Amino acid sequence: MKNILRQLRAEMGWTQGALAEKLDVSRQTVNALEAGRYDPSLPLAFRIARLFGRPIEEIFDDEA
Amino acid sequence: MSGTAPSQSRLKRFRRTGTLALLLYVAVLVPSILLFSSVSQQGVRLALAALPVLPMAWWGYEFVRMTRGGDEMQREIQFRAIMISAGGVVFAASLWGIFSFIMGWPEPPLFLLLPAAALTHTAAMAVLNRRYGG
Repeated sequence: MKNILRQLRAEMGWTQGALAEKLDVSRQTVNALEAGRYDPSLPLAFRIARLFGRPIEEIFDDEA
Repeated sequence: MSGTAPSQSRLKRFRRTGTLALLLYVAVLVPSILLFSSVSQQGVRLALAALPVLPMAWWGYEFVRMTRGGDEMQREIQFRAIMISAGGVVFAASLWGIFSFIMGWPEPPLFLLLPAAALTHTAAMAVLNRRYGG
């Protein structure tokens, strides 16, 4: 599943480690999420959406 | 969980202690087998037979310690690694059992099942971590 997580993180000027800290996951998980190698659970997707103040479907694209 | 450090350090610790536990298992198992036939006292024989369980219990403790507290992706990696190792070892043992039953091969050594599962799990973890970019 593609996403714009890397772009959103860059806009905020956060490192992967900083984003990982805010989401309470490891940096490895943030890296895998950004690369599209791992699809988050629904609770994590909600946490990401809330953190960036955007709807889930704006961040994640399941049709890409 | 905070960033990289906790999960990576937990994994590094497990690689170190898990390997040490497996080596200790072999180091205890070999003398146990060698001494077993030369000992006649039932209590000592029982102790010799049970001794290799201790390093495997240590490996299990370190394994549980490593898996606790990981995030959802790390738990998924763990789950897949356990599935691969358990499935692989059960399949291989069953295949060996069938061949020993039909072809008269020697019986599969059951004391090797847990170390085989541990080694397969370690290999599966390495592959999966690489796949997920760890």
